[in-house]
Amino acid sequence: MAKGWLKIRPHWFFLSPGVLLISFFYFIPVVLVFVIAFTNMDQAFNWRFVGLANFSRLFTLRDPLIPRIIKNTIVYIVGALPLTIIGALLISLLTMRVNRTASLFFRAVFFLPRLIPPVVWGFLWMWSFEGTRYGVFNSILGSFGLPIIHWFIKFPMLIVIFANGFLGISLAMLIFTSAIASIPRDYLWAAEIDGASFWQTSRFVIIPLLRWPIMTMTAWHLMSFINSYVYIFLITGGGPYHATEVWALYGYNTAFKNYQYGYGSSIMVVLVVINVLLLITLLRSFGMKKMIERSRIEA
Amino acid sequence: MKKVLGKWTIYISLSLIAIPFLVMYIAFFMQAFSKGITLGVIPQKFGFSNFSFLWNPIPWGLERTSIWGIFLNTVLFASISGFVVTIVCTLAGYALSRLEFRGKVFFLSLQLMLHAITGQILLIAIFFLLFYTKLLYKIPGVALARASLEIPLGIWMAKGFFDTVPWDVERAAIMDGCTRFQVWYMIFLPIIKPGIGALFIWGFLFAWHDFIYVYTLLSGTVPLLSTMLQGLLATEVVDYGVIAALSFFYMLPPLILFVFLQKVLMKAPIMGGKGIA
Amino acid sequence: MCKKLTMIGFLVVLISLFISTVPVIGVTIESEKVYELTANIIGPGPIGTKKAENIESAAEEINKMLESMGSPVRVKVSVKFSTLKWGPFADKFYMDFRAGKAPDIVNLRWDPKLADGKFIIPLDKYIAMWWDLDFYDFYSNLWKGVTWKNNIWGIPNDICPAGVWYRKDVLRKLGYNDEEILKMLPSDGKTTLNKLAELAKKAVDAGLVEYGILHRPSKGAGFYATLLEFGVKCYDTLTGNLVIDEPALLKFYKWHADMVKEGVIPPEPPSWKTIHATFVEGKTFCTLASHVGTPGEWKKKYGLTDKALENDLGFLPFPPAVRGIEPTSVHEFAPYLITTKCKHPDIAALLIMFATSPHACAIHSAYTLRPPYRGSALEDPLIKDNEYIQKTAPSVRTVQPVPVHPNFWDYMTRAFNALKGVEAGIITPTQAVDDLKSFGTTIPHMEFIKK
Repeated sequence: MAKGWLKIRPHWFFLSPGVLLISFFYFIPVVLVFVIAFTNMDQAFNWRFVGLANFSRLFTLRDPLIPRIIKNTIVYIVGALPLTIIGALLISLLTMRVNRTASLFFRAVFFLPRLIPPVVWGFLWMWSFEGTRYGVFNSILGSFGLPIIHWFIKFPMLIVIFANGFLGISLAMLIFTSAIASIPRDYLWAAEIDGASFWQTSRFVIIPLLRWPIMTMTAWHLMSFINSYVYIFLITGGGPYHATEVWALYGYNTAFKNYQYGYGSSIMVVLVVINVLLLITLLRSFGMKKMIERSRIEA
Repeated sequence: MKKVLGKWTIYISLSLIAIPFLVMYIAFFMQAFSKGITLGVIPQKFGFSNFSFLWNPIPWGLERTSIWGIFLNTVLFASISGFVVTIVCTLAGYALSRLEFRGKVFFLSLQLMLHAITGQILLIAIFFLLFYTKLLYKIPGVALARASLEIPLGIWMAKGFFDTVPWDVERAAIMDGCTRFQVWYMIFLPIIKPGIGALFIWGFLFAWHDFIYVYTLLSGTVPLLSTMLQGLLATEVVDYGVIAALSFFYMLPPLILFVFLQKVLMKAPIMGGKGIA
Repeated sequence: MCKKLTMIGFLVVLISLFISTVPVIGVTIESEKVYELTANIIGPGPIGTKKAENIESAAEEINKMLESMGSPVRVKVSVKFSTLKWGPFADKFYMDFRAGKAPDIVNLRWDPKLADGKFIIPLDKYIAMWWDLDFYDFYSNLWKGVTWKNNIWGIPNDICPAGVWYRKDVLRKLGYNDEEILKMLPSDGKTTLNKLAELAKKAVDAGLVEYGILHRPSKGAGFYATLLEFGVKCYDTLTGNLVIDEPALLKFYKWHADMVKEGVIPPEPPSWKTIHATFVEGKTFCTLASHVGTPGEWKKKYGLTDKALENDLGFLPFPPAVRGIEPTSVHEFAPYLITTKCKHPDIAALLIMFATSPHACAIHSAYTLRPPYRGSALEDPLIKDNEYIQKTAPSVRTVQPVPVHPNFWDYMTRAFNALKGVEAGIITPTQAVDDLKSFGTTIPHMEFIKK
């Protein structure tokens, strides 16, 4: 019986563990987060349904932090996304033009963030920009007799954008360099013979050919910057005074630092909805089917 | 002449971007292996004194903690995650590469969507889900949750590995009367062995590096290296030298594994790009 | 003295075991019965370790008595001592509790949420029962801090009256002699915060110190005390509600913003390590982050010498910042608590009673230089000749507890974060008060004092 079933519908057998895990850790949580958003779940796990109270608090701006959080989120994404894409393009184009050893060296330097665990990366930034004479950059300033700078107070958002942007760069750079490497050499030689400068070659030959990787990387990092908050959590925790607290982090902190699980869930629900809407638009514009076919052909 | 100048501009601009990072890396390294640093990067007394946690327990948290217990916890956590990712993805990857069924394209695109969403924003719900299923604060439960994060992309990777195997191999076996499962188990698995290794390391690495899942779902009760490090940092129990040394210890195993991983990963076509680490 | 105590203890064991475990004793009269208990004790930091050791020796003492009685019953307690800070330790307790791993005895920053959430049990029964034997000489003002809804929930074991420490040697370098210093900053606190700030400014401007005034890097008793000195009313003792006192809060935030502008207070509060290290080094003129017993920590961890403590450091309660306010000293509680998961609350209570005996109190006091929490401990030979402890002991009698209200610490967290925002220049004092006001609307029965 079971064997016959396996013969007729073998894909069920092969897919079921994955489907099970995914339902358990993606679909049920999505439902659950919607449910919790309508409760006032607290630290002692006491709860009752409170209707739309959490959402009305969120949308009628009875929470004074919301405008600040929205502003932070926008500044963060508008800062980090171009930094990632342009930075990665720049670095891949530049490393293409130096000799092999140097190119390997620079690529290693910029790829390293991806191999450093979040906690260590967070520590590195926290410590480097610490506002006392013990911080790395302050101790350098100090040894030149310059006064210390309170980095996290002067440029909190900038530090967070750079710390996340350079993580993005390490991935995007990898994709871009391998894409550049697969461009037929003749194109580049042809351009060079025509007397095109480095910038002209890049602008008119390479970048148009990289359209697909650039688009995927932009979409990828857009999603990632909207959803992930781990590095901000580790580096500033959202501080000083919510200056670096983005939407996703605010949801997390509300739930797990202030123990307002209900309200935190309602914040996250907004994010889930944004994600679904964004994904639908992205998939429409990218043509999902084409993407799947593509990888098949290449294989 | 102009060309030489151009070359130098490239070197200089690359170095300018790289220098702050180099300073950070070097300071980190020097801090780990010395008593303290001056001028940001110059070590004062070179040595291994910061690494004494390897043989002495660290006074932290509720008792003096031995690093090796925590190390083993982390290995266990990451291994479970690696196993789950490997098994689930090699099974699903095979079906998606070799079998035709309704909803396949939908399934594949769904995986990409799920990967983009990332479980982080569902963490509150996962917290309660694990709590009510009595899996919260236990390594296996949290490792399962962590593994499920890597499954969407893992399935794509596995599909890529199966796609590289020629059809003829399997056709012969099926003609001989093998079931699909036998084909998968006896023919494919041996062929894509390096791919399986890569999947395992993939699941292992992300779990090893993970912070937010471990911190939220496991932290107080079962310390892993990542949460212990963060705890030491937040509670100022030890100084930066020890933190740097501990970080170094924590980073080493993944770095070694990565060297192996990248050899395999660079060969596998994923998502039209070439390898994502 | 000691003998008397043993007699009392003997009696207590007898009484308590009789009351609580009659059926158990009935069964186990021939066979041995071991009661196993667990306790999680917080430092924070390594200095509070005697709080944990006292529980261990309490079990030993009880066992010795049981043995001499010929009873087969034994008490075994496994104590875990934590150097974590308040926040992470509390988080861990809540997690353990949910995971079903809660200890029997826990030592936490006192918060009435613990009582309301049924995490701990009331202890009135034991305190009443053993009052004459043991609890009679605890300073009476301490009980107020652990009372909530007419029950007492914890036993005091560690009192740190928060106050101001400053460096006399810095003032001497500024040209003041000791007499002038004591006149400007008398040890009863009858001066003003502005006087302190003025001296700090002088020290900073003269390049003598790196930091003028440092306050805590987190909320806590010292923060609350500073609020009080600005006349901020946070809690209405009559109605039991929290209060947002707009005009006074505005003054409080404005003062800090000005101090940052003048370079007296740094724009971001440095970590504990920096606060302690720079103060002991003499690079900080004054710290609002410490308490009567902090020199114990300075001596053990930061190399403070007895001579420096005697000559160069000065202590006073928080001086008023506005007119009509008295100097105050405030303390927060980390009492011994018994959790609802405890199977043998009687034995846990007995352990706590022994762990807070006059001698145990003296051991803790001698190790930490913190004043004892009960009068008779002062006669213990361990601290009888300790000049510092004898001198500072009276400070406990007048110390005020922080208000007991389930949302008090949430309020303080918000108020403190707003202070950090003001100091960093991210928000103005007015914005800080506005944000607190809208926080206030989420707390039931919050009272507002308008401009």
